[in-house]
Amino acid sequence: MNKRSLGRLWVLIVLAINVVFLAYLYTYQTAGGFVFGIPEALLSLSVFVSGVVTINSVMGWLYLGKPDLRELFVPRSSGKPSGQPSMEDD
Amino acid sequence: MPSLWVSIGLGVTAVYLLAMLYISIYSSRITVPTVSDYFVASGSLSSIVIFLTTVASAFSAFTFLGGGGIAYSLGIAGLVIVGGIVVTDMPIVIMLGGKIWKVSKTGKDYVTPSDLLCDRFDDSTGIRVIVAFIAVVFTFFYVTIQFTGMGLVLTVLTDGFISRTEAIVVIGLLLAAYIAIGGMRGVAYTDALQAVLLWLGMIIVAGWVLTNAPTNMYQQIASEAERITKLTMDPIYLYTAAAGFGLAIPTFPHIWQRYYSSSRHSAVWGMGFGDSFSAVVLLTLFPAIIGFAGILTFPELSGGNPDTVILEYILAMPGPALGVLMAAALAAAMSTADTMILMMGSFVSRDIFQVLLESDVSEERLSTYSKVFSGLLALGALLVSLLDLGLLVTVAIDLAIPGYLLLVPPAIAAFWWPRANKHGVVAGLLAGLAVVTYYTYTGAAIPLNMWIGAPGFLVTTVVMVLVSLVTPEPPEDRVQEFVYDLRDRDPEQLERATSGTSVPADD
Repeated sequence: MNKRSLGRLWVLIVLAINVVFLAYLYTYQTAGGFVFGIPEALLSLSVFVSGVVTINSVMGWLYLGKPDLRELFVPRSSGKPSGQPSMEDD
Repeated sequence: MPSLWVSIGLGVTAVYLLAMLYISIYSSRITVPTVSDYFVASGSLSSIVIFLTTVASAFSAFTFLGGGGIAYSLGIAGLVIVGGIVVTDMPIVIMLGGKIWKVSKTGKDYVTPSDLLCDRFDDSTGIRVIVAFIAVVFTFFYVTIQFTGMGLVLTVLTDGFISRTEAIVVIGLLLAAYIAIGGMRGVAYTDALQAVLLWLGMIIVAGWVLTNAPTNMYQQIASEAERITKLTMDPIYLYTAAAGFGLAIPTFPHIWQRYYSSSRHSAVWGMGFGDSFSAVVLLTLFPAIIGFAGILTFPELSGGNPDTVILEYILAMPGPALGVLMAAALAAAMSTADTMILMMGSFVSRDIFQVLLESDVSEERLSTYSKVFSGLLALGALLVSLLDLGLLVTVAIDLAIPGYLLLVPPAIAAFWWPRANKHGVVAGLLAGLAVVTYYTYTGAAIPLNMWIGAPGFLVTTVVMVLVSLVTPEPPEDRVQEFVYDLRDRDPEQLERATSGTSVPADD
């Protein structure tokens, strides 16, 4: 799937997520019960936002062309022009 | 006299503040004396630094204090407003941010969002003035929130030993110094440390509250506060607030500048993920623990300032934790304030002094002026923050975010709508600005109970489209470059092309 198609698919998914969010907002205008001692409205919200982040993380990664995510957690060891000063150089 | 633990806490906080200053001085040694390097590090920052600085910049006193406060006062509805931003934020941070990152790597010398918008929209002075106005004026309110947060933290945690004014003045002066000295590198590196502290502080407090709460905590709270089991606010208001807040994030001018500052494409994903993931944990899960438990533990706050609920818990925790948590609370406020002040300095230096006033001073001298401008802006914000602006979150949501949201339609149109032109953008922004100002200052009822930012956003969009359609088409070469050519640009090639520039890299 090319980037433009992925973008369109992602926009559709985002629209669907927003519809679900609106449904949540209307559903819990009345009080829900408790699940495992946690208010149902809170549990539903937590599950929903966690799911949304997971879906968007995958879609975003695919949309950007699968960038190397190790760069976010460890400093990159190559690619710096030689002879340039850096934090380490200092 | 303060207690032993408060004294130790103040000592730890002093060490933290000095560390910030040291990092800033260290950063200044690798900053080249140009406006671009001072304000956006010439696009040389690594993904890990961008990831952390985005988290630190986006999540501030608003998160550390306001998250628990809004959960305490509004219940589930409060969590929806701040945590619900995930329904729009990551897609737009990545899609729009990816475009901003790409175009900034095509040999451009962008420093402010106006630079990009003016480049696309035919060097419009009108756009530069309006965007600078939105960025500086609306941000000013946001910065004062951070200063207020700092004052609140030290006053409450030292039990009044340090007054709000003393706290704001001392930290404000130090902040002004380290921003002026270190520029973007100083701010980004200190942000990285502050992001870790923010997370650590929230984890410690939430963990402590959870382990000390009764097993049936939520049932007990529900019997006293129905707002934790149902939404007590209008669904349209909640939806427009959450979705609008999320949409505005990439156009927060200080977040926008992080796209310019990053050297690697992966940073764009990191910004989106860092933002969304932090929204879930820091603005939804932790406030649901801290804010809700606070309803049971500190019922007296309902008539006072709910924003202090997390501070009340910190005071109730064992003494040794106080030092780290005091520093963490300050870090949350400082990391956003420094970023915003630096951003305002860039608008004054680039948009007002260099472009609008057509100053012909050398880059090196302007870089020096930039430090002065940034320092003076910090001092100005410090003075304004000594006024009481009300509940932190209310001020932020009512004034700052609606202003940033106005920039979303022009930013999207710049890359995806070939027909958008400068006339449409100027008219749209002016109309949106008028609407936001009207509702903010008159308090008039908003149609359909929408959040205050929504009508401004809609009006900006409609006016921009209509005026663009009835005025001449934009220059073909601008449209070709921004809308069509950019689609086919390979990120890896852009990374390679910019990695050879003669600026210091931090990785």
